[in-house]
Amino acid sequence: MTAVALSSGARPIAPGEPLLETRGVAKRFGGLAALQGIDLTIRKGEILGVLGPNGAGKTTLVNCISGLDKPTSGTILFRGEDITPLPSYRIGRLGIARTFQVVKPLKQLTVLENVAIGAMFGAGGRQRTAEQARRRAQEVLERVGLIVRAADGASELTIPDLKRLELAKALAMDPELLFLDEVMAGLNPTEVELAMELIRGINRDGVTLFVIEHVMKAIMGISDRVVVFHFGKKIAEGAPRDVVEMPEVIEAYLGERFARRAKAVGELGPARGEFLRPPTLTAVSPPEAPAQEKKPPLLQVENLVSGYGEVQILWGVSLEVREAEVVALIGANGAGKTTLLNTVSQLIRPRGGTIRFAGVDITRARPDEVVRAGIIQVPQGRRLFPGLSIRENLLQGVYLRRDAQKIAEDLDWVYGLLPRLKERANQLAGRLSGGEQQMCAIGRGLMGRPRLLLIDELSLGLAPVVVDNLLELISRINREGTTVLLVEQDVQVALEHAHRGYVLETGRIVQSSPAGELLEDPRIRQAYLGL
Amino acid sequence: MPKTARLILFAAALVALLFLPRFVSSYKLLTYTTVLSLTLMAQGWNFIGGYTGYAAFGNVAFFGIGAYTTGLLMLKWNAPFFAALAAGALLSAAVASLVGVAVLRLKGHYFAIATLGVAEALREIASSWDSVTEGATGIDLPVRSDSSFFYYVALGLVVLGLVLTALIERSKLGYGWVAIREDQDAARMLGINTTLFKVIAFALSAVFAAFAGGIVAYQNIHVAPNDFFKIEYTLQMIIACVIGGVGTVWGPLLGAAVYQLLSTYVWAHFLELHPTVLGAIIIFFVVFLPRGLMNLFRRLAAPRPVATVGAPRKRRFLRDLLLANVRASRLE
Repeated sequence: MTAVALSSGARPIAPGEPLLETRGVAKRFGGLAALQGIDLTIRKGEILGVLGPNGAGKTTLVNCISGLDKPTSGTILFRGEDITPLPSYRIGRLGIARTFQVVKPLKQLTVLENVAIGAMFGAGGRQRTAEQARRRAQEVLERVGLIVRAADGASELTIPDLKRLELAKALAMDPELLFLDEVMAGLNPTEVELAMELIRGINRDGVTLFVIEHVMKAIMGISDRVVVFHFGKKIAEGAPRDVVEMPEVIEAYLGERFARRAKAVGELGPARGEFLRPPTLTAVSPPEAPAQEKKPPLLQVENLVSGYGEVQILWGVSLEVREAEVVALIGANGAGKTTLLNTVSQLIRPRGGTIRFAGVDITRARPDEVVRAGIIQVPQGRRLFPGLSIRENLLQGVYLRRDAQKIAEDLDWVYGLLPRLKERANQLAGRLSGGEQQMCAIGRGLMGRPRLLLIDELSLGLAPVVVDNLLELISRINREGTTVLLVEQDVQVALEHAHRGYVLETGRIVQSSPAGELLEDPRIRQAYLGL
Repeated sequence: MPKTARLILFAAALVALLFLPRFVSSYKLLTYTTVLSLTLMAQGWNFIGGYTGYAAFGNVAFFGIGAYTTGLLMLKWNAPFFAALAAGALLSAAVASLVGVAVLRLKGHYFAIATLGVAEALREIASSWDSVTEGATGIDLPVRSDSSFFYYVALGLVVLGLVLTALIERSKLGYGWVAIREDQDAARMLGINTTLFKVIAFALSAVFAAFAGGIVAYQNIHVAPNDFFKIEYTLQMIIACVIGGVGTVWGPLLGAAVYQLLSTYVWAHFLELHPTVLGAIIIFFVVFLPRGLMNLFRRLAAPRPVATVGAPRKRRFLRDLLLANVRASRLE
């Protein structure tokens, strides 16, 4: 086959020479121009960081290059050869691998088998038997730190581990060029450090990288060059420190607050290889706690025990959320934060302890009764209805309501809060970019007019400027009377917007304090802020 | 189970099956031959439906092609049975490949409906192409009264199917099929030629359905459109796979045996209620063991997790197991 001949017999490309070029690549979906003539060069051996607001076309470009979508016009050259018309499996065999932002694990297979398939069919797959591919998969899993889960089913992994699995699958293909689409979303700052080190190591081994990421610290820390997309166009390109100072980038993507943060990061030295410290923001401080100590708490969880199958996750967790508070729940991945929210929502049945909401015992309530009582969860991983439009997804959020007039007003209210949803109201949710899906999930939660909103991973996959807006939004709906329990990996951002915080470690609450105190606590700073 | 123990068990079972015809009545033997033909069809369906995840609802088409090809070649050209059977299998694979290139682009229900349509179209062709198929009357084959012959042919092919499935399961082809089943886009990006792999799965499924068709045709000495292009056959092969466990090596054989033996038993004991009782049993299997008997065995054989709450937990093991299965089915 020509594809194989090309990859094995091709001349080596010197570092710094163009490895992949896109020339005038455009992609239209019906009336929507997702990409408008992208000219981009990826040079051999570099790490190219990619920024851009949600829906800017970053993932669409990767889809076009990897052959999953075909560009409406334009050409894509890899090692000087036109790969635009090739089917995606041949592009994969040429040595181009990618991860998926919305992860695509092969659920009924083990983690090892998932990775082995990459080793079997990728660029190096021809030379391997199925058994050799399994051994290669072992090596890759060691490298990404997932080896302990090798024998587990892929469906049992948490989101950060699924991201790691995506990376492992792609790495096992022995790529020359690797596209990473938000592999760090959902990692806490300490884990981001590890991921950055891993990516640098992959790059040192000769893999050219194209890294889409909203974690600014990571982009600033690992990229040789950065490009910025906006509305399907490339609006900026250059050295990381120069790019974050460009006014158009600040306006379209970073927002003022994060621009300050990113700039400070950039000033700390030559970007690569150095341990970077995000500065603390003194400009934003946690809000004052609402004065109403005497009232009973809105949500009161006592000695909660919960888990899956034979595995116990929560070991007697107690916490309370008072009326009109924003409470942040922080902790490492796997600490049990999602399990706690899912148990409160009764998606998992509690095994012990009590949950009381507004004075009523809901320990044994059904999930629909919990929603009826006024607790609404915005789940991790969005869980939208992909075949329904945004509008229809939002209206699914009012399932239990009967006040048609008010529902129409609330729909306008949500559109007002999240204008992007209004622009794309009739698009299928499955067609949206990752960040737009997250907005839609939050919008759907708000449509139920919750008394208590549980949010699991607010910023997952969102551009900084959107995170900023959403946190403002949360403060606003909080002032209007909605109580919020927030799970968020960006601990700093979470605590800056919360009244109080709880720290969860291996299924137990180890600390609970006003948010300001947690932000200053040296142990918290070390464990969760990477300071 | 260690590998040698497995091989010994397999060999012992095979020897027992080889000598079976000497000890049972010819009526019993007929039942067992039916189990084996159903196994063949289910083994075929397992490739496309089980491993690759494409719910083919028209595999009876290949059963029919196998039956007609075998019958016509024996009748008109006096071809030997095995040559005719092989020709039927080849023709089936060719038709499946051609049809597959077109219909395997469809997904989910659309694919199911398209395959259903193909089977119906073939039945119509068989009914109306009088000059070749004798229309609705059908064709008559030479008589062979030696009933253990059919048993041995079917047994041999079932063993072939088992070995082939086991080999494929550990090969790149098998991994590729499963990757397609789990996520086609991801499979493509991993470098899998999805179209080719799906067509291979569909063609192989046609081969085994055609084997069953040829055997049943010769055994029944008469092939007519309405007896051979029956949707019941498609349903039976799917049910056999579901009972035994889709996407497993032993599932089709186990499921076909359980289904056919239960069906025969229920037929003998509840003549009038036969369909109702059988239906209830199938529902039981689908609700409580959606992943089939093989999954149950696997879980029973797996080392039990250490009970955290103490001894009483162990007694609830089977109940937990069933509930876990039910939960798993709802998640999918």
